[in-house]
Amino acid sequence: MIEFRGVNKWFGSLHVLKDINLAIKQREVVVVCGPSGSGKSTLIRCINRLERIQNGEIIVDGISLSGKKTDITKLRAEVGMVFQQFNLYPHKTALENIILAPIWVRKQSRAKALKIGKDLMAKVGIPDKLDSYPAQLSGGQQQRVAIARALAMQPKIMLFDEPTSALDPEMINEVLDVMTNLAREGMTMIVITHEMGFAHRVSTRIIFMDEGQILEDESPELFFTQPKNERTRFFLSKILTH
Amino acid sequence: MSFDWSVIFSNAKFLLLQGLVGIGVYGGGTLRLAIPAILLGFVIGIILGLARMANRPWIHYPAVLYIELIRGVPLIIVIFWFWFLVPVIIGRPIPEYWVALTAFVIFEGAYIGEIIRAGIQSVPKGQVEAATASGLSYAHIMFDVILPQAIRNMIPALVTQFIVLFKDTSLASIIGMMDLTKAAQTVSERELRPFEMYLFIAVVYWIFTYSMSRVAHRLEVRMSPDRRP
Repeated sequence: MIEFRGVNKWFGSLHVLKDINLAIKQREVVVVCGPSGSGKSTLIRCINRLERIQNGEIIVDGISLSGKKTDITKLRAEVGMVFQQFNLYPHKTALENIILAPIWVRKQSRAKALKIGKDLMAKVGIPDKLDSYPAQLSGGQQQRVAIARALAMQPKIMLFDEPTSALDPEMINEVLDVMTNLAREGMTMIVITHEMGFAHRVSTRIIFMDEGQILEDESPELFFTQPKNERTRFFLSKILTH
Repeated sequence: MSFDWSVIFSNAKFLLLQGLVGIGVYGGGTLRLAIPAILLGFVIGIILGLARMANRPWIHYPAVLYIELIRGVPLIIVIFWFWFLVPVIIGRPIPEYWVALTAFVIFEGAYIGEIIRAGIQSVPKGQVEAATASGLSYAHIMFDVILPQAIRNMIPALVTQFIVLFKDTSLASIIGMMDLTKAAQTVSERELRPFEMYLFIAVVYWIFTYSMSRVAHRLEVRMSPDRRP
C-alpha cells in the first residue's frame, strides 16, 4: 500500500530522513514513535507530499509520488490526514468542514455529501454538533470532526500526526476510541503517537525513529518486551515509567 | 468673540454640493475623489499584495520595490510629482482632479497591498495543509479556505486605511482642487469666518469616517458567525 525506497530528505543542511526503507501493507495499523525532531512527522507528511523528498522513491497505492504524470491531488484524495492542531476551517460549521472536499474533489452531489457527513458525525459520536463552529467545540470534539472530515473522502489510508497531543487528558480517550474502531474496521493507518496503551492494544506494528532513521520495526509484543536497540530501551524507560 | 453660524447655512449648497460631492463648475469634490480612489486603490492593492507573495522573482521584486518606494515618501510629495513633474514630461497640464486621483491610487495601492499580504499570511499554515491534504485545488484552497479568513482579518486594517485616505483627500486642496477643504477655505476667506467653516467641515469629515467604522464593525460581526457565543 505504501512503500519507501531509499528515501532521503534534507531541510537545508539538516538531514531529516536518512535512507528510509519501509513497506506497509493494506489493513496494517502502524504506530510511529520517537523523540521530537526524530523525523516521524516528516515521514508521514511525505506520504501525501506535504513534504517533498530529495531522493529515493515513495509508492502509494501503486503510484510513484515522484512520477512525472502523477496526479498528486487525485492521490491526496485517497489519503486522509488528521493533524495535531485539528486544522478545522474556523469559518465553516462542522458539517461544512466535512463536505467541502467531497463536493469539489470527489464531485459528490451536495445532498449525498451531507448524508455521508451526517452519518460520519454520528459515527464519531457527535451527531448533535453538525451546525457548530469549531470554536464552539471542545478539543476532543474538534479532533473527531477532523477525523470525520478525513473519512468523508473515503480514503484508502489514514495518517494521524500526534492526534491527541494537543488534547486535555480527559478528552484523549474519546479520540482514541474512534481511532480504535477505525482500525477494527480494517483501515490502513499510520499513527504518530506516544499513547503506548493504544499502540499496544491496536497497532499491528510499531516503528521507533531517532535522528531520521528507523531504529526499530517490530510487532507490539516484541517492541515492548524485547526492544533490540539501546536507544529504544532508553526511550521506553522515559515514557513508560510514569 | 462672536460667532455667526448663519454663514454655514448660506454657503451650505456650495460647501456640500461643490466641495463634498463635486457637482459644480469647479469639478473636484471630496467624494468624487475618495470613492474611486478607494476602489481603484483596493484593486491595485490586491494585485500588489499577491505579486509580493509570488515565488517568481520577476513578479515579486517589482512589487517589493514599488511598495517600499512609495511607502517611504510623504503623500504630499507624490501629489507634487504628478502636479509639477508629469506635465513637464508629457508636455501639457493635467487637471487637478486627475492629478489627485492618480496620486492617491498609486499611494494607497502600496499600503493596501501590504494589508492584503498580511491578511493572507495571518491564516495559519495548518489551514493550507489540511486543505491541500484533502486534495483541493489551489483555487479552492484560496477561495474557500484562505480568503474568507484573510479578508475577515483584514477588515479593521483596511477600514483604517480607507478612513485615512478619506481624510487625506483634503491634501488635494493644496494643488487647488475644489474639495470640501478648499471650498471651506474659499468661503472663509470671503466671509472672514474661519472658525465656523473649519468646525463645520470637521463635523462633515467625522460623520463620514465614523459611519465607515460602524459599517466595518457590522461587516466584521456578520463575517464571523463562529465567533458569536
